[in-house]
Amino acid sequence: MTQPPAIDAARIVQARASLDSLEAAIHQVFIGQEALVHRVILGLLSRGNVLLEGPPGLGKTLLVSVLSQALDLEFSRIQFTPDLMPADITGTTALMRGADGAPELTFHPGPIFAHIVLADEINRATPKTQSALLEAMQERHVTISGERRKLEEPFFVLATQNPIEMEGTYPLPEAQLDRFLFKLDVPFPSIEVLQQIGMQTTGLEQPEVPRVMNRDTLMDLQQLVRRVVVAPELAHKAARIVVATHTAQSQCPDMVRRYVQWGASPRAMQALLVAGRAEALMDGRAWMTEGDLAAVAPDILRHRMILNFDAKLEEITPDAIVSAVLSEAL
Amino acid sequence: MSATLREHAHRWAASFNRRRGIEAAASAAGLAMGLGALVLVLASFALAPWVLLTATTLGVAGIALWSALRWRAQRIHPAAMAARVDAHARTQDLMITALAIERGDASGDEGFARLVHARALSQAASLDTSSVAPLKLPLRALAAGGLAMVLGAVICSNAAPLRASLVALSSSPAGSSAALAGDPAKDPQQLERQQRAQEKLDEQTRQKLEQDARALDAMQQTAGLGDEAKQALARASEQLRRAAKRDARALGALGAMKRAQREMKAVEEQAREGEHIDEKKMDAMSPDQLAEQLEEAAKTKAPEAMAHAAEALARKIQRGLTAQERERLARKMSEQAARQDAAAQSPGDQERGGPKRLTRREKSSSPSSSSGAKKDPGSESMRKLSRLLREGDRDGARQEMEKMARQASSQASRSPSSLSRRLSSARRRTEGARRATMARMGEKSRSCDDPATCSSMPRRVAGSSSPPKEGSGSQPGQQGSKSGQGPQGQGSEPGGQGSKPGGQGGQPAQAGGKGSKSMGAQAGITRKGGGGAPTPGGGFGGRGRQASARGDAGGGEEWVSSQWREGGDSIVQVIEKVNRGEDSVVSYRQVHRSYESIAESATEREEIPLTRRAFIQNYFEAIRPQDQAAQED
Repeated sequence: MTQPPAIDAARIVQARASLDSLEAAIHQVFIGQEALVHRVILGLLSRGNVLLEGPPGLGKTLLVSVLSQALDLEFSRIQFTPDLMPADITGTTALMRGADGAPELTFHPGPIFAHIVLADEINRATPKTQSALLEAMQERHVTISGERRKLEEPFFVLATQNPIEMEGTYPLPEAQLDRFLFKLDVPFPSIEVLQQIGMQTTGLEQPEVPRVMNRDTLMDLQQLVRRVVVAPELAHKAARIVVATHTAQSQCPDMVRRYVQWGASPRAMQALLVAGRAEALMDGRAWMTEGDLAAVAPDILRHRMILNFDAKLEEITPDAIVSAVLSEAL
Repeated sequence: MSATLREHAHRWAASFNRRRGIEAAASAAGLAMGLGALVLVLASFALAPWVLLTATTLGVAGIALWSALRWRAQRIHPAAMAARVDAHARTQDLMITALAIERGDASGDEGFARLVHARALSQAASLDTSSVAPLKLPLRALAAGGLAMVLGAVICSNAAPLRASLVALSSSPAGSSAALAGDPAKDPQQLERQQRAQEKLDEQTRQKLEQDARALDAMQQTAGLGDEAKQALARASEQLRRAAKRDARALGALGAMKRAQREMKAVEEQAREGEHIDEKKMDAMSPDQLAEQLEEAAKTKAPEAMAHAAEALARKIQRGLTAQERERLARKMSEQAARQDAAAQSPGDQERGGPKRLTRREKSSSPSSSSGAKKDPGSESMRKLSRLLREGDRDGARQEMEKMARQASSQASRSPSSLSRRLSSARRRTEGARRATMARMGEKSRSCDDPATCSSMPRRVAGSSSPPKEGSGSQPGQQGSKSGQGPQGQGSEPGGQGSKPGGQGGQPAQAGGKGSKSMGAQAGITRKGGGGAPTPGGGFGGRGRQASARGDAGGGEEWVSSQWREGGDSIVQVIEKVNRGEDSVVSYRQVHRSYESIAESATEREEIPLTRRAFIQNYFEAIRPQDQAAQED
């Protein structure tokens, strides 16, 4: 392992400029949804995986495609269906004739072997297939025919699910949900954005995505995120946020006590600090702040709390609970 | 790595804590000023020095402790101060991160840490933290404390007159304004009163109070007296004794007398309503004990106790007695009858004032008074009861006992020896002693909680030298012109004497002849007559009519009603006018006289419980016109 290069103030400025240019490049093709793009880049920088939830046609696939183009990374798309098999994702070993004519087992990698993987409508595949993705997302490797195959860095899974067509779907188990750094809601675009989308995408000329960053730069930025300074006081606040989602804790707000069945895992604590650091870097800072924690907390905690039946009955959203948690913990 | 940021944080925290310390001290000063004012006021009221010293010490210690705790709660540590500075200067947690870096607690790259620290240092040097929680002196507390000190000083400089005023306030609310009005420093009379406030009770008052206390002790021995009443009497007695102590100051004695009066009044009210006797206690006694109580009550001239004991015995007889109990009771009754007869015939009894001291009503209600027999009327009943018990006539015995109870109850309602009356007398005496003491202490105007008792007290009312009963009306009083002889009534006193010297306030005087007060009605003579015939006396106040009205217990109401209609106002109109405070052609006194006999006969009816009769009779006593009540008393 080589020593990381010396850090100076210019390095922070440069990193911010790179990230700004990445955002700008994406927005050349992907119109609107600035917050969504920002969060996706945060997830990428944090080396996490992102679950996008939104109705069809909002540009989820386009976003991932544009991102891969701007980063000059390999991109693959897996359309999850009920008959999708794990091998369809991870790849398979087949008996093939070699160059010398002798038969040999040859590995045919699946779509998971890419830098950016779009798992489209992930909740339509069976749990068995979904779990094939699980190992890849967390361990960054897959095991095929007993052989462990490492996935190349950077590896970024961006899964989508449709919240309105739940029939014939297999909701993601909590364990798998926990492996997503963020769960982002894709909002419907505003009228101005819609107008812009229509104007820009229906003409003869299609805008091209400029390549603003390469794989090494991205990995360097991912390293840089981990170098951002975090004071123990802020780590304590992050811990308080996580603890406040648990009903058994005295610090939890009344809303949590009433509506939450199970709170966030310690993985949420890690996610808070990593994403907070990434947020600080994107803001051009070398240190994380309470504001960074507050900014990333909703996307991190939203899918990590299991709400009870009362919450569903009273239409309490996870975001409302996160808001109560933040006001209690910060 | 430089420790400068830590030093900065310490400096900021020290400055912050200093400001909080000043604030706490200022608050403490405000409180101390308040305490000082209080001490000044207390000191001016001659509190014992050790009390003042203790109170001051405790107050100062309390304030110091409170201030220290408050300061400690507000004190801040450097790290927390750094967070405050971050929030205030919007440095986005830069200072706390840099402090963590200095401590070596921060997580992250060393190069980044250096950058962060350097930036924090550069900003810290230029930060003005005085605006982070600036000094806010508790001006309100200080102002309040200062004001309290000024007030305390004013009170202290005017302590003597204020003290006198407070004395006046505590003893007489009505006299408070007068007491507060003058300037004591220039008024030698008030100064004299202050000196008198330190005086002690005079020997005569003290002896009176001791005598009343002994009387209260004796009242506690009343048979069947309830615990509550007994305790109240004990408290009243204790208060009187406290007031009568030789070393007691007059001022303290006044309070004790007032408390004793309150206790006495409470028992008096209970006694009026017949609630002072614990019937359960009476029922728990054996027939022998009740018989002894009966005898004791008869000896001590306690008709109330007699009535209750007789009632309890009647209940026991009704429930049934064993042959042994019956025999013992019969023997006791006959023995008691013999003893009573012997006592009635002895000359000493006359001297003690038995028959002679009976009121006219008692005389009239007592059959012996008219017959002139030496035998005690109670002894006859006892003998009869004894006989009935021996014969085994349970109903007869019960009825006889109930009769005895009724007689005793009736007697109790008029007897001055009833508990309520004895208490009333004791209370009046205490009020007299209290007022006399107050008068001696130099207070002229006095309020009186009980106007009935005040009227009997010596009072010096400026500008009023005429007797309260004397009329000041424009028309002279008219003497009753008719003789007090109704068709059936036999007035024992001659008529033709105006009961009032004059009418009041221009109202035509309608004083009837004294013969209207004939006790014939009460003696049962007129009752037999069954009058109702129009009186020859005619006119208002004619005693013949009064007597005949008394004589008719049953149909008197109709008769009276028709008579007053002839006069202009109906009975109802008269009473309503009295309630409204208006004048009527017919005086309320006349109406009352007419109804008195009806009321008396009504209270004798069987359906009214014996223990309630006295209460009802007291009610009719209470609604008597005042002048009439005074005449009879």
